[in-house]
Amino acid sequence: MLLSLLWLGPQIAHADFSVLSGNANIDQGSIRINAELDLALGKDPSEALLSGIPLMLIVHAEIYKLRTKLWKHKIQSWEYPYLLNYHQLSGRFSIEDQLTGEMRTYGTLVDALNVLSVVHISEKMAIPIANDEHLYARLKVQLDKSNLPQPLNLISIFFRDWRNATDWHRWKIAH
Amino acid sequence: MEDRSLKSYLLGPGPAIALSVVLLIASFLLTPTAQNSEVFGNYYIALIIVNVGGVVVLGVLATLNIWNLIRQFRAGVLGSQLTLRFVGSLAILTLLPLIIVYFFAVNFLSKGIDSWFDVQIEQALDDALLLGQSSLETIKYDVLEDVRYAANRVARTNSALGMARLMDELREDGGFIQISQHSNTGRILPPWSSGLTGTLVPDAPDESVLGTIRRGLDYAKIEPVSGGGLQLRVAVSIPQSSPLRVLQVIYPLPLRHSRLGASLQSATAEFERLKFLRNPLKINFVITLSMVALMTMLIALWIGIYLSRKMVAPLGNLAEGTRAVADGNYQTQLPVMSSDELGVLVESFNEMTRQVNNTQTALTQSRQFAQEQHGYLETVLTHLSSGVMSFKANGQLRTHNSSSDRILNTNLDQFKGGTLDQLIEALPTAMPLFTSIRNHIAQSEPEWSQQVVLQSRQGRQTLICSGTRLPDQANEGTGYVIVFDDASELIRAQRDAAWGDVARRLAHEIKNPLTPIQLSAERIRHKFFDQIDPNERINLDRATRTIIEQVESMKSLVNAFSEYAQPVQLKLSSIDLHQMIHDVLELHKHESDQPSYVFDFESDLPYILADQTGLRQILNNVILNSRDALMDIPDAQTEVITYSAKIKDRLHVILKFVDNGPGFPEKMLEQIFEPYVTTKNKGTGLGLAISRRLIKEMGGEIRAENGPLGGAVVIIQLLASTEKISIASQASVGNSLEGPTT
Repeated sequence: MLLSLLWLGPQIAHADFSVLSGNANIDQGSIRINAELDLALGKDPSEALLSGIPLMLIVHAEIYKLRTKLWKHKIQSWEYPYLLNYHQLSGRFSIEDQLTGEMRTYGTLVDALNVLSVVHISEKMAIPIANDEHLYARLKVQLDKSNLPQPLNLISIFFRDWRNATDWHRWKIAH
Repeated sequence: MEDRSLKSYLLGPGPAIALSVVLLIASFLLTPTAQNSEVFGNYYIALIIVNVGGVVVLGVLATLNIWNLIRQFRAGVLGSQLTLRFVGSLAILTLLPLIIVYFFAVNFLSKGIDSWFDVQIEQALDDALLLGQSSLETIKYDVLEDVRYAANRVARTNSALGMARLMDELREDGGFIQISQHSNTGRILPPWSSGLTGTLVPDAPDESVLGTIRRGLDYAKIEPVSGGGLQLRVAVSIPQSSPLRVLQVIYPLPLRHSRLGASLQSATAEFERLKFLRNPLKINFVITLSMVALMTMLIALWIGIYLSRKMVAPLGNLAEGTRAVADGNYQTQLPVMSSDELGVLVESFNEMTRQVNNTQTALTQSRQFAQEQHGYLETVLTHLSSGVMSFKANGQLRTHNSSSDRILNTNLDQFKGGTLDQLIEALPTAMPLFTSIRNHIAQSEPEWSQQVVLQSRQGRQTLICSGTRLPDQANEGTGYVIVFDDASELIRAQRDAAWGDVARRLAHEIKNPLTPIQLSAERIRHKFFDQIDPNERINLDRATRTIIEQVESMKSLVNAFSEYAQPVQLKLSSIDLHQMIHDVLELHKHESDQPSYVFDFESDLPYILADQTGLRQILNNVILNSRDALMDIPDAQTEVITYSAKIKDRLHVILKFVDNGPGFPEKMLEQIFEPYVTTKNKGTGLGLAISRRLIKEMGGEIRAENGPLGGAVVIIQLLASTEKISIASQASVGNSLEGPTT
C-alpha cells in the first residue's frame, strides 16, 4: 500500500513554491529583506482549502555569517506564519497574519497568493552587525503540514502535490 | 557455536513474541490515530513506521524460518516434510479467513464512511448556504443603494469642512463602520470617518476592488472579519470625479445575521472538510487494516511454524532414531520432551533400543569369544605339523592349515571352495590322497584312517591320513575334517634303523667267524701244501686262495655294513665347496676311464656348513658312481653345477652332478638311496645310502633323478654357513678354484 502511494506520488501534476528574486540590506541596525515568490497550490491542497481546511504558510528568514563553506553561524532568524482560509458563505479567501492577528480577504486564491508572493521583511537586529562580506540573508516559504488534519498527514508525506516548499535562497547582505 | 546459538535464538520464540506484543500495541494505538484522534494523532506517522518496521522484521523471520524448512526438506532432514505440510495447512487455515475478513472489512469501511455523507444533508447545507447568501445579497443591495446616494452627496460637496461633516453624517446615518474616499490607485483621500476607536488609517480597498471600480462597476462583497463576524465592503465611484475617486464603505452586518452566518459557515465548512477527508480517511483505515492483517498473518504464520516444529520434533527424532538403529547404532536414546502419547512413544523407543543394545552387546561378546576361539584353533592348526583340511558334505574344500600346503607342496588357498574332483584334476601328485578322501566321503564313513603314498619329483611320500565326519552343521550339511601326516621320514628312519640293526647283526654274526675261516684256510694250505700230490697242490692253492679272497671280500662287506650301522659323529664347520670338489677330483684325475668334467660354479658362492670328512666321502661316492655309470660311454661327461638359493627362509647351496650316461632305472629311482640297492655288479649298495645318511645329519638333502635328455642327475642341497672361513687349511681356496677346467 505504502509502495503504491509512493509510486502514485510523482504521477500527479503539482505546483510548487519558488523564490523568483530578492535582496537584503541592513540600514541603521535594521535588516530589510525583499523577495518575490511564485506561490501556486496544487490540485489537492486547493481542493482542501476550498473544502474548509485552512493551510498554514510559513515564511522563514535567517541571517547568518558564513565562516567556511560548510560552517555557517546563525545570527538571527524569524518565522512569519500566515493562515490561508476559505470562507464558504462569502466565497472569499482570507489571509490571517498569525503574529499580528490581522486578516485580509481576497476574492480569488490567486489574489491571496499574490499578496503572499511579495515579501517585505523589516526587522530590528537584536545585536549590531558590522559590515562583513560574509554576511548572508536567506529565506524560504513552506506549507506547514503539521497543522493538517490527521488523515492528510500520511498522504501529505507521500504525495508530491503536498510537497509545497521552496529551497533556501540566500542573498549577500548589502550595507 | 555462538553463531548457531544466536541464529537459534533469533529463530526462536522469544524475539518473535516480543515483537508481536510490540506490534499488537502499536496496532492498537494506530486504530484511534487513523480516526484523527487528538490523543495519539501526533504519533500516527511514528506508529506507522513502527508497524512497517515490525512487519518487515516479522516477514524476514517468517521467511527465514520457511527457507530453513525448505532447505531441510531438500536436504532430506527427517521431520521437515511433515513440518512443511503442517505449516502449509496452518497457513491455509489462517490466511483464507484472514483474507476474506480483510476484504470484507475494507469494503465495509469504505461503504461505511461513504454512508456518513448523506446526499440530503449535503443538499440541505448547500440550500442553507444559498439562502444565507441570498439574504446577505438583499442587505448588500440596500447598503449599495445607500452608498450610491452617499457618493452623490460627496460629489456635490466642495469644501473640506463640509466634506468632513458630511462623512461623519453619512457614517452615522448609514450605520457604517467606516467611510472613506480613495484615489483610483487606492490612496486615501481625507477626510474619512471611522466608528472604530483607535483606527488611525482606514482600511484601503485592494486591487480587486479598484479594478472593479475602474471597469465602471460597483463593488459590494461580504467579508469575514477576524473574530468570526461578517462585514460588507462596498465601493462605488464618486460621480463626476476627475480623476476618478472611490467611496468605500464598510458596513457591519447585524449581529443576528452575523451569528447565523457564522453558524452556517461553520456547519458548511465542517461538512466540506469531512467530505474532503473522506478518501484520505479511507486510505488511512485501509493502511491500518492492511498493516494489522499483514502482521496478524505473519504472526500466525510464525506461530504455525513454531508449533509445527514443536509438534513434529519428537516424530523427527523418532525417525532419526529409527534410521540410526537401522544403521546399527543401538545406543540411540531420544530426549523425552513431553508426557503425552508422543512422550510414551519416545520412551518405548528408548526401552526398545536399550534392550536391542543389550542383546547386541551380548551377541558381540559371544561373537568375539567365538572369534578368539577360532583364532586360537587356527593358531593351533597353523602350528600343527600335521596337515588339516575340512570339507563340506559335497566335497568342497572349506579350510586348511599351512602344514597342508607344506606337506602337499602347494598353496591350497587357490582351491578354497573347490570340489575334490577339481583338486584331483589340479593336483595330480596329490591325487591318491584326494581320491581316497572322496571315496570315504562318498561312502559316508563316520571315521577312517588310511596310508596313502604320493609320488612326486621330490620322491615318494607316505601320508597317514585320518578322516572324521563333523556334527551336522546348520544349512551346510555334514562336513569332514581330514588330518594327515607325512610319515615318509618316519618310515625311512624306521627302515634305516632296521638296516642298521641288520648291519650290526651281520657285522657281529658274520665278521666273527670270518677270521677263523681265513686262518683255517691258511693253516690248511700251510699244513697240507707240501704233503699232498704236487698235482693236487694247484687245486689246494686255488681253493684256499679263493676262501681267503672271499673272506676278505666278506670282511670288506661286513666292514661297510658296520660303518653304515655305526652312529654318525659329525664335526660341522664352514667349508668352501668349490675347493672340496677340486680336492676330491684331484685324487681321481690319474684314474683311467674318468669322464671329462664341466664346471658351472656360482661366483661368490657362500661356504657350506658340513663335516669335512663326511663331505669328502659323499663326493667320492658320487664321483665313483658317476665314473662307473659312464664306463662304457664314449665322450663321457659330467657337469658340476653350484648355486645358492633360499629355501624355507634359509640360504642353501645346491650342488648338481649331471652326466650324459644312461641315467637311473626308473624302477630304482624311488629306492636308490636305500641300502643294498645298486645298479653295479660289484657294488655293496651302501655308498648312496651312507651319503644320504651323512647329508641328512648335516641338515641337507640328496635326491636323484633323470635329466630331460637322459643321464643321471644327483642333487645335493646343503646349508650355507654364516661364516666366511672356518678352517685354516682352506687358506689357498682361491688358487685351487682356478684349477677345475673342462
